[in-house]
Amino acid sequence: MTRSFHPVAALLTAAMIFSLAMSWTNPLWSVALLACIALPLCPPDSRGALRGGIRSIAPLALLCGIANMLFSREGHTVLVSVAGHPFTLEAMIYGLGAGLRIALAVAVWYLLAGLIDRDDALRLFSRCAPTSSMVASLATLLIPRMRRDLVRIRMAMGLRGAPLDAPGFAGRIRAQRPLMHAMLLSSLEGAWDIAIALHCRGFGAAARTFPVMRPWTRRDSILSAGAVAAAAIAFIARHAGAGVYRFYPVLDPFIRRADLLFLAAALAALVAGFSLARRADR
Amino acid sequence: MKLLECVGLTYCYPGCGRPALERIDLSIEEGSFVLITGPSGAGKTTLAHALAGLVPAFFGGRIGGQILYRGRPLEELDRRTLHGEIGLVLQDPEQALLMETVERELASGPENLGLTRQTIMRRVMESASFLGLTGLLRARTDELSGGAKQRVALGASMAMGPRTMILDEPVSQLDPVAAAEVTELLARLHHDLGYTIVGIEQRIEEFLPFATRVLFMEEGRIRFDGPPRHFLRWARVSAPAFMPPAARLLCAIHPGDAPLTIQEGRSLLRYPSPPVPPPAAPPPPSADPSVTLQEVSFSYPNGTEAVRRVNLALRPGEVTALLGPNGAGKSTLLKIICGMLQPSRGQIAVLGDPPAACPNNRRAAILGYLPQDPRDVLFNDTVAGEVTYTLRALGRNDASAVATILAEWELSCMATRNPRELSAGERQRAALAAVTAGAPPVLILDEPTRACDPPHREALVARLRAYAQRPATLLVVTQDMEFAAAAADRALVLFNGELIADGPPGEILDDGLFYTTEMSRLFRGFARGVVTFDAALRLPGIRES
Repeated sequence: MTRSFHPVAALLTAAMIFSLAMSWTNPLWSVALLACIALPLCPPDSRGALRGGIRSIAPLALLCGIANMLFSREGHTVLVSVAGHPFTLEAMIYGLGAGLRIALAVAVWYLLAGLIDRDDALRLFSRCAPTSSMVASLATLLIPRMRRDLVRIRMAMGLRGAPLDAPGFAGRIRAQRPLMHAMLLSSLEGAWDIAIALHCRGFGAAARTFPVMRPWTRRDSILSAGAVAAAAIAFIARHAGAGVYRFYPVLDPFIRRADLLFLAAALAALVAGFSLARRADR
Repeated sequence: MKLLECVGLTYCYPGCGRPALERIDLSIEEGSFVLITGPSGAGKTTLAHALAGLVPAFFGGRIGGQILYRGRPLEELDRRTLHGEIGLVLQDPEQALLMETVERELASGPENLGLTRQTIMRRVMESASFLGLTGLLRARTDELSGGAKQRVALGASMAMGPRTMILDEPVSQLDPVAAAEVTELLARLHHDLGYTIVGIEQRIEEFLPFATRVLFMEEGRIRFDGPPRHFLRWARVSAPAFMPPAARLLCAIHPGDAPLTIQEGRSLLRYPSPPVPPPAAPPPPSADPSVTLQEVSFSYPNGTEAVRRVNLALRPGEVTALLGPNGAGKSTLLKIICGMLQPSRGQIAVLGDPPAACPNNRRAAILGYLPQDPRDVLFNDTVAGEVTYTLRALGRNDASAVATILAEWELSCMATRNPRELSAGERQRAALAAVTAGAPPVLILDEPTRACDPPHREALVARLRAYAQRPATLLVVTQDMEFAAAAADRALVLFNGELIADGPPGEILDDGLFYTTEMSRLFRGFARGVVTFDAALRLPGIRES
């Protein structure tokens, strides 16, 4: 079932969800969307990869929260004041919200990788944008390879006595350096090997034959309809002032009854689209 | 008719002072089967890349001389014509497969060349039928066995319609069954369809019977160029380690030409009957086992049971070879022993402790592990740095020990080079030096002869045997049956995750169809348990025959 959507349907759906992720500033809404992507939307065999992706981006999201608190003086709810600098709750939540949106962008990428057939996308777009489609296709090929490489190299380095579990934050960062070095070199070599293979396969030697594409089916229509409906609801909500969240000078309430209705409707449209599309496949 | 021609070809990789190819003069006739062999780092792969038009177009660097294709300079051919005429099959099929399903992989090349849809479908159908891939067209490429992956890589190249195929060590990563499958396919391409085949191989016994010509390369130059029989005559004096074992033995005991095939060898071998019984296997070491596995099973998260109820005891002073087809669970078993994977069921102990529970520095002191890809353990900037790293991790800081280890592995002249810039064979030696530097009492090696040339393979046998006498416990996964026979005291066969055979190599590798050695095939019916060159020489009366 997975990877069985038409590339246009998969891309349209991902684009709609991405637009929701970027337009919703309420952190609670972002959390709800992230949970929705991670569980009902993401195909079961891609959930592990998605969780790994979110885990790897989580420190960056936290860093956003801390960094914003360090540099912003806005907000009225002072948590602590150090050397005259107020660390406010509003600045922290704003930063965390921004981090959450980065995590959402990553989640949408993993969701797309789970819905789209890489070969189909490459074949569809390689005639009009050969370089871009190749870069995108290679990215989806390289990311799982890099994850496998990381596990393998980590294991092999551990057996050479590399102190990968050194105590303390600084120790751990220092210990990761050779691992990152090896990973970087392996990725570059891997990319080089793939480039040789592509060259030998004649990529870019001539205008590609336009391939026979998989037909657009009912499930593609259902999936796309669900995503478009969710985006439409979000658009209406936006005009009604829902989903827009004010962090400063004091935090808006996270939950407003009218907003909740819009959120529930948009997520329900998405989940229904995915669920009905999957059922149509059986 | 001359198909490919090199005239005074000299080539230097970017940033390299020493040429990888030096004054190569070579012409390849249409319809020939050319076998290129030679030590690692000799320039064989670079020559293959040059003939396929990758050098210098793709790699850059400086080139002198000319490469001609049907009399035209190769660089004048547009890429569409070039890839439609000359196909290159890379060494590692894992890296060569780019699409998700077999059908799309086969179609990708013709699609890139802009062929008509009808032509693409015909090419896909024909190459799939020829290579026996019709049942796998919808299969995912990442789920195929090693042999099937190599067939798909071959098919993807074939579907582009070239009449010349250049193959870089096409069977070096395959188990004996898959290797025989691919070799036969190449022979059919040459015999039945008139393809010009240029194959690079270190172990030439599989290809020699089909080759019409052999090139021997060393230090970027061609040292020998001629028919296979002439090559064997030349190699007898100049490169005996590169001769197939049967040819080498018969040269030692027979005054005439060396045989090209086992059949010829058997007709030359007039061995007295009745058959000689197998030599008695040496008694196994009596020391307590250093590695024990009891009812060990392992399943991957997707439910695949890779290892099933394995019981095993490995003793110090013993070299054990672990054999079996690609995907049998050999590498998984090694990872379990190294503590990198936790068994789903059963008990495992290395020197009394479960390895997964050991901290990294303790494990590094007791266990050395060489993974399939040596690059995984190479992360320092110099070869000397790799050895130093291992010693430092064990609390030793001894510059003289580093020099001794490098000299032992013939790496002294490369001490300051980046290990990733070395040839595949040299890199393998650098990884072995790094892994064994701390003299761990248990050494686990996954395919240590990958990319090793025959002289280094022989040296590796001697080193591993000496290492075991320290005493140390060695477990080696290999697809190289000649190496297993020469190096191991004990052979295990893993099939479908289960240990199905355990015994001396003379017993396990004797009488096999694929899991056997040239020597065993040569002596079949004459003498039993003779699986190595040395064992054959020890047979009574062999010199008088």
